[in-house]
Amino acid sequence: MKSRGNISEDWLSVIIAFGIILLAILGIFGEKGLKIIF
Amino acid sequence: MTSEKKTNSAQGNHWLYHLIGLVIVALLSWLAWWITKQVYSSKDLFLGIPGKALEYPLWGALAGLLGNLLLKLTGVHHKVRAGFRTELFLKVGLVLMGAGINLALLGSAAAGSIIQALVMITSVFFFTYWLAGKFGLDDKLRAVMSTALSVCGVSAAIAAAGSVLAKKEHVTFVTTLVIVVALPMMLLMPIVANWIGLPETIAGAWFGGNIDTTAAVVGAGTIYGETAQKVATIVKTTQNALIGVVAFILAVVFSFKSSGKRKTKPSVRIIWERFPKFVLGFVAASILFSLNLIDGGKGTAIEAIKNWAFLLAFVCMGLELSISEFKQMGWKPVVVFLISTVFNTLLALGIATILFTYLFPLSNL
Repeated sequence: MKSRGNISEDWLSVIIAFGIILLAILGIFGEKGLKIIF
Repeated sequence: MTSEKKTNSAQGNHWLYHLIGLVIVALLSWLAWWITKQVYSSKDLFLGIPGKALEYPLWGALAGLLGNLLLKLTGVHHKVRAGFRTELFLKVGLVLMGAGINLALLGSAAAGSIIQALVMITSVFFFTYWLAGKFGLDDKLRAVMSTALSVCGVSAAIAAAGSVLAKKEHVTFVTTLVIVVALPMMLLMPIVANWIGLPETIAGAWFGGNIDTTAAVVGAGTIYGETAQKVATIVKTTQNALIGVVAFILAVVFSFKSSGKRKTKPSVRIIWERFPKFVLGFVAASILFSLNLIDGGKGTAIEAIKNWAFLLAFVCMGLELSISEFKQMGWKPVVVFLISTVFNTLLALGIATILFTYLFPLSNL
């Protein structure tokens, strides 16, 4: 069993989430950009 | 095509199968979202239940189960399951959730969460390990099951298996049990909490301390209310953060118990290696939110994407459910797991009530 299997996924999730936050700060997502509804 | 490529295709390791799996998850998530919107405005859906009570985790899990059934009937489930990334979607959602949680809430809930996590992990681990011993289960299966029940479900089972060098069948069996039990608990616990009349803070701490897998904790919290979702997540994240310590202790204990070639080599490094790094992202996002540098609060695009990430995770939970592993392991581990779950549920209710009512009240939320 690979003991480091989940570590890359952990960092990947942080990178994706902060990428989304950065795009929101830059206005790509949100009221002025692409509207995301839920 | 080489023999290696043929094997990869058969197991669904080709990138195209990943992509198809992801597309299936996205389509089912959209279906769950659409159903949520349809029923949400209904004041009396059936039997007097208002549509608003049926939140998106329910429809996500049901859409996943429907997809699971269809994919198994058509024989393609094993090929496309590489695209079912429950943990990844969940962790993205959790970090984004941090962007809407103030450090003051994180701080006030953290003290109670740490004490609750220490009490719950120790009590549930030793109770399950002792009970599994009484039923004559294998020591390594006992360790994997006890860690899964006491810490954080699937990822804890995987970490414990690495520490004690458990068999792959043990991990598959325990993770299946975790999901099979967590799915109904995600839906039933908010109903029971409502029936008892628990405030959202206590209910959130109860879900976080009791339900094994983080996705189901977030789901139960979401169904119960916004504050319950936040408290449940903080409590569960604290418990997740301790997995490295548990994995290290297990590695040390089993290095003394094991003999021969398959002996564990404990190292303090395991504490960092097993530490869930998304917790750092969650705290960092919360700091940025508290400094007014980012806003992931209600009504923002970040909050909407967070909900989508959670919905994708709930759909994956339904898609990953499998009960074929039960036939191989017999009824004894199932009975141990269920008795320990009842113990976990009752203890978590008592601890959460005492800690968050009397010692660390969160009444200012």
